[in-house]
Amino acid sequence: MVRVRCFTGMRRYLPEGKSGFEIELAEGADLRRLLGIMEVPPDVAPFIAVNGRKVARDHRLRDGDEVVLFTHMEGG
Amino acid sequence: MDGWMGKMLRVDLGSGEIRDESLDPQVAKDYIGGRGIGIYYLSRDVDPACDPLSPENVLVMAAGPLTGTGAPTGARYMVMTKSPLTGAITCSNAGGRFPTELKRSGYDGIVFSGRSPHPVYLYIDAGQAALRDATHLWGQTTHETTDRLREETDAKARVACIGPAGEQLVRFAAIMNDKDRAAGRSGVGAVMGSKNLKAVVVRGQNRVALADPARFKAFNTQILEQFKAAARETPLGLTINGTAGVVLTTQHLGVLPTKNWQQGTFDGWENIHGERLTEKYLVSNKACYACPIGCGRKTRVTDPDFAGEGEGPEYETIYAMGSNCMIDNLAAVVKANYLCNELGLDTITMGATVACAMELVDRGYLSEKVVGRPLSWGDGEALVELTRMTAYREGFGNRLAEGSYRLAESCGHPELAMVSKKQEFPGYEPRGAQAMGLAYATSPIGGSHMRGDPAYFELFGIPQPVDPHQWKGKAKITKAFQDLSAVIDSAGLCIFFAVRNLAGKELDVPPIGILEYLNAATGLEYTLEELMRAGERIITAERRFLVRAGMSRKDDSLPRRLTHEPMPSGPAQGMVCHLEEMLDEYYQEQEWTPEGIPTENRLASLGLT
Repeated sequence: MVRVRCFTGMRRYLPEGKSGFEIELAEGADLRRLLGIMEVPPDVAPFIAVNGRKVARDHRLRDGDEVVLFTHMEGG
Repeated sequence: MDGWMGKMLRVDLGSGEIRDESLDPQVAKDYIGGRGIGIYYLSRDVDPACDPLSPENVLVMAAGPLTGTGAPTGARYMVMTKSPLTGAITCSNAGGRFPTELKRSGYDGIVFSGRSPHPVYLYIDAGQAALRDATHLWGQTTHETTDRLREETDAKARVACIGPAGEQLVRFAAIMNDKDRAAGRSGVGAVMGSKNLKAVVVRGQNRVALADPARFKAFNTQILEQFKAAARETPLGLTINGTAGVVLTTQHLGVLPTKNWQQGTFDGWENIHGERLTEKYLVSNKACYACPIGCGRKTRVTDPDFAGEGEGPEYETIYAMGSNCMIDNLAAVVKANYLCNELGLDTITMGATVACAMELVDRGYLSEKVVGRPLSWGDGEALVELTRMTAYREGFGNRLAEGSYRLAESCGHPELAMVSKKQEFPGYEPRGAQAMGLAYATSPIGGSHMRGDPAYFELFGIPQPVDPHQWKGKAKITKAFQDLSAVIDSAGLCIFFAVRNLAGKELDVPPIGILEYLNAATGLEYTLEELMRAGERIITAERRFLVRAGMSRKDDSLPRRLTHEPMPSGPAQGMVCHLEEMLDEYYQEQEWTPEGIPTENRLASLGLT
């Protein structure tokens, strides 16, 4: 089971009214697979963190992982 | 001259003499405006060894040639003087409406010298300038002062002023314009206070003349259409959540400074990030003149303990007063921000100084008896109360008013001040973002990210992502961003628009879009190389001022915590900032000696001898 949380512009890919969800993925599935299931278009490049660390789309997910997705923030 | 108004106002506050001075067209071309014009005048008129709060110091307010032209974010001005916090220069930048009105009043900028024998304000109405008595305004907040001055002069006038903090010479007092926009950093408000100058009020109907209006308009339309198309594709985070959205990025990269920089992640981050601000307190966005982004936040807090209404907070305020103090009560942070705006204080240094005091108490180097109240991590009520006391130098506020370095030093532990050149850092941890450490150490104003912001390439991936943990090769990119920022700051634009929309997409970030705007506005036909040289000239002239003030490599430093103590946890766990290695590369890039002194050849090649 992988827990997914979305913020800012990535909320639109969540089920209505939810801030996150849990999903069972096949062994060895990567982020690309998860984003595909969520119907995130390939040209949308969110910030992806798994267990608090920034990762790329080819990062393989494991049972118990916590995924955070948000569109890039900038400024300061 | 087109783009520029072609004249500066010289105000001798000691004698009361006011006169116009033509802006030399060659100086305007070589130094662009704003920040560049500021360092030109400081280099010419200020003894770098002078006491910043003495009449010998000079304070320059200068807009850029694109300020007020309608170019996107062409709304900004720069306040340059010798800083009472750092002993180096200031580059305190603000937007809003005041800078555009300054140009409409007929001037590119104002140069204040001397000290008035009594409180005064300067009023410029359509090219006519006069000093007026401000005794009745002394002690008033920035909001009260602004309202009163608009009643006294013109309801449509724009006001930049100091609050009680500037009058009290708080070393990090701000100059506030349009009530809530801040030329915030390095104590520019204290310099105004030391000169008995309460406010500058401007009003005018002049239009900024453009050399080729049709060319300007065509390019402007193209740039704005590109911007709008991109924002339709991916709504801009800055518009939706303001800069406060950055908490998400820094928390997840482990570079959100927490507990006076003892950690890079904050357990309470979900209570203080931008979406929470939007959901709980946002009234509306607020944009500066000609800005298509609108990152400003009009907010309201109804929680009875922290009730108020105003603008903010920015990301930097949320880090400094929130995670850095372990405060996850956003209402307390917003309230302290309102107080800073009204009393005229820099929110970064204010929050970071309270965080430093919290650590000094925590470690037993400072007693709560001296503080006069309990002071522990996470205490939002203490933050608000100490902010108010600082502005008036009341009780322990008198110690906080000196900034964190002087406070920590007086307690025998200067190493606990998280500063470069005695100025507190903004909210990005150099242990997990190496170039940021180099930028802090080499910024001409001390701890700052805005004079060449590596967060763009290390954290936000603009124009291209770069590994934030790698130090090799960072000097070259950092220098390129510093040069770009000198051009942006001098042209009168905002970094939030210009880096993304007006610079090249390679990491050497040439200012290609700014070039076209400047040429259409001024008719001077800069080449790209000339414009990039102007950026280098400004950076090098600033460095020359610092060297003359006695600074060198020894001052391009970071606290030991960041260079020798590995990050204890989070995504940057185990890392330190490799500053010395980056400095060696950086000085070579700049053609400075290994001690950080610009070489004679370098100065000569930029026309600085």
